Amino acid sequence: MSEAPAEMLPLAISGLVALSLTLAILATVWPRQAHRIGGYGAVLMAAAVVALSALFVAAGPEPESAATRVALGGWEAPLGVMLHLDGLSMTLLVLTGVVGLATSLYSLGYVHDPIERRQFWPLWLWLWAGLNMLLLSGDAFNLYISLEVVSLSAVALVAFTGTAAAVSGAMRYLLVNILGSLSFLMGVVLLFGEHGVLDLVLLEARTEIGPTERMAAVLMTAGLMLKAALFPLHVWLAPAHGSAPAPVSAVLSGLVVTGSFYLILRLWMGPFAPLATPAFGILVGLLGVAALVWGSAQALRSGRLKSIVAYSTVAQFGYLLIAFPLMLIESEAWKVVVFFAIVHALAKASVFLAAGTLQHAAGHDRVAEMGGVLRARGRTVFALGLAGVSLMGLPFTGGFIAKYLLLEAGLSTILAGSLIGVLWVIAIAGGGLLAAGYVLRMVAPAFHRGARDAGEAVSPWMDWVPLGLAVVAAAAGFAGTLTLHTLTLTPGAP
Amino acid sequence: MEWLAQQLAPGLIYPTAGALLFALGLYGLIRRHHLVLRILALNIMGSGVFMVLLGIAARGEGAPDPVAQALTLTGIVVAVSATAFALALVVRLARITGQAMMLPGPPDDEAPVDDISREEHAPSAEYEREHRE
Amino acid sequence: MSNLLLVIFDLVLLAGLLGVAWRCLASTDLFRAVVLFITFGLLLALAWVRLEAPDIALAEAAIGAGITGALLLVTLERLRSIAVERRRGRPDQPPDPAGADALLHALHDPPPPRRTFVPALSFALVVGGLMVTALWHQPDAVGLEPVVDEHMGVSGVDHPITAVLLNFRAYDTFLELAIVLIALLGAWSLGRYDRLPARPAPGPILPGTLRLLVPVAIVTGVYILWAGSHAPGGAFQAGAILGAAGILLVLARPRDLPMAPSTPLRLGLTAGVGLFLAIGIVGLFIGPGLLGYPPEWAYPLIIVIEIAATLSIALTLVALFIAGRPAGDDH
Repeated sequence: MSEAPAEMLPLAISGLVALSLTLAILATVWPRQAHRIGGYGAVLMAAAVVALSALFVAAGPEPESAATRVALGGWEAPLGVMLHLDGLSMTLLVLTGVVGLATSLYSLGYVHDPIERRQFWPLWLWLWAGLNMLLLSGDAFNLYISLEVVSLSAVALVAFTGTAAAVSGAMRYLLVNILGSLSFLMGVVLLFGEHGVLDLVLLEARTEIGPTERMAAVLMTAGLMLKAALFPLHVWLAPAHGSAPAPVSAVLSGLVVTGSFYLILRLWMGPFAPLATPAFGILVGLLGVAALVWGSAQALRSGRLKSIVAYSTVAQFGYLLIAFPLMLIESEAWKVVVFFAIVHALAKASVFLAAGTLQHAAGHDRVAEMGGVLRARGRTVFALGLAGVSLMGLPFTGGFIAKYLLLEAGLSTILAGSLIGVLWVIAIAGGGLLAAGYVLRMVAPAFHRGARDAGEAVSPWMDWVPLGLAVVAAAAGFAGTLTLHTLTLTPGAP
Repeated sequence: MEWLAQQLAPGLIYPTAGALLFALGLYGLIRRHHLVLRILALNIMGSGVFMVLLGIAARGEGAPDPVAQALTLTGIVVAVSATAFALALVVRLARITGQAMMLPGPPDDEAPVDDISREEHAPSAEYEREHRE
Repeated sequence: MSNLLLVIFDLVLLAGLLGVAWRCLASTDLFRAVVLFITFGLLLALAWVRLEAPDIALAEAAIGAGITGALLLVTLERLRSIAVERRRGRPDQPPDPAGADALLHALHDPPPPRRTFVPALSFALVVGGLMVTALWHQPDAVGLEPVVDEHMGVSGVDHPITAVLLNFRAYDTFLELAIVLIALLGAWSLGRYDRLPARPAPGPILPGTLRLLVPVAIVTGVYILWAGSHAPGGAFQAGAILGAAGILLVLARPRDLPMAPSTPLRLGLTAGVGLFLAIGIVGLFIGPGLLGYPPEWAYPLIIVIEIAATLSIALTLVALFIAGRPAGDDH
């Protein structure tokens, strides 16, 4: 019965890549029309991703048949480059589609100047195309190239406002990204020297533990941790994410960082899986606890709205590191981690978009002086609060389900006899309290008495899109079952 | 002597030298502060990676591996693109701050915000003004 | 005996490379560092020849040493003129203490503090040592050479590297063209073009040389492009050579650059990726898959893509040298 969808799937995968590249090229050639190409294109791309995911779920009822591999140009691996779609990449593609659509619509209102529009849209569409290609790539060298597409366009977008802080943040971000890419590439080269193939599936089949695998794992993971701003390689994040234009911050914190994390997960579930020992897992988990504490402390101290949100990204990514030791003991935990990353991306993007609207209205983002605007802009504050609640993990939101599942995994490691599990559980629960602290710092002035001041007029896009995305983030809990089902369609996954 | 020559085949010493170049670039990147020097350091690291790759390709008896060579070519072009963009950023930074160094420390809470969504930022207005004069 | 000579050559060359790289990263004078870096690029090209990679040697000499060198030198010139302007803007003020003497900083970097020496060196040595250990444990020759060899007959070209670049791994090459373009879009987004810090060269020497050099460069570029299908060469090397010729032309008339209108210029810059993708999408619908060609059409299609890519690369490299976006682009 599922004959037809399975046959259509390879065509649809190539089609999505072709569509995203076509949009980027069209916007580059006709910058004057770029915002129209981008606006309509975003709707088209989101529709294409939804269609692809429907095909995927319809086609792959058994885990064995779930990874669809497409030989580009008809050349199978090891000669050619393969595209690779499985449950993990599919869920993250849908996430990219949702956040990308929201960001595009928001940018229609945010980037209004005709000259800036021409620079913004081509870069943003290249970034989106790069993310799609990163998620679909099944070849180690091609992953490096896709990472470069993503990082160069992301850096250009960070520098977009042209202030000293933005350009300096972009410069640091670029150096970090190039270093991360080179480290990743060196790992790829080492693996190629040992096994003579670049395709991830073939590499996985040939992997055995040796000096090459160890060194390649260190180099590639360190490079990606730099790019994902995972503790202790996170120092560049706040300057870059905090000084970029709001839609760019949303994409960086929501998607770009998640993309690097996806790659770490993919490598450690694939070629590097034999290297993951419990001791190593505990080390990573401790880094996660440190990230949680440090990031939350910075977020609680910072005086600016966007800096608070940027630091909270460092903190929230601590959870992903804490989840690592859980994954080694409780093999189902990786799905929970991905679900958490998805909810975080949705919530974080809407928080950044809402912060952008408030900053636009107030003309600055110093929290202490924003009371008037916060009191007057209930809709945006509601979006900020709703997404913030999801970050904290209060009941009935996507964040609650994610954290509940994470806690459950933590508790079952304690039951499995691992004492350090207590620390993970405390960190997961305590991190929620810290998150409540900095989310309240952002929204509390809205409930103080004082004058209302709506500030500068805001376009309808900037008014409504953050709210829409926040609702999606909160409602993501209801999609939990579907997400977890899609994730089981990842081959090699337990 | 002949034995030593066989041990030191290009397939061994070139990858070794490449790894050393990578390490040397890393050392320079940590130590030096001027952005142009940091970009040079990253380029030297990149050359180290390419040397490892080409050295690996030259291992064994037959013709060198064309895939490795093609990957290197791609890598060189990517490196020059990233370098060009990085240098443009350095010039831009120097024009704003007068220095080709990174601003130290975390973002400044007091620094002014330049919001591109607001009217006063519009570069087209500036452009109109320039061209009316 | 000849083996021994080759080993000595290898060791001397590699020692030279490491030495030049060290001197480059240790120098306090930026101009000196850049010149050493260009030397490093030329020595690398020699190493690539030794490793039987003439294509890469060509590319390294043209792109790694040539274009990167030109970009670095013009950047230093720009930094110098920025420093001079800032100094001229406030002649009566004492030097800004936060700026710590901008002119000095523009082209000099003080030697790094001693205390970072040991940690940085040990960190680098550990990383390098671990990589060397891993490399020494690797088996001999496990590459893809036999697989490529087997498929050369259906690739449409006779040169294996071109076959890999434009047929077997065309996706990588496509994205590489995209990255060159994105770098330019990024540079353009930073601001409008401002004048190159170069004066028109007085006297007849530069124009005379150019009149000779540019046709030679064009012929060389076209030859290298054509040779790519059966011998070392191809779109990237040809594009770099043509780009270098373009940079020389720009330098000869830095004050009155021809301002190309926006749409044709952008069409030229994207011709490579655009045509590549268009042909690739046709391939998706007629059978071989995205970015694939029917074997009987492979040769002409590869040539068409290479010509467009050469044009786009040359234009993009010149535009990256100029850096800012042309004023015409904002109309």
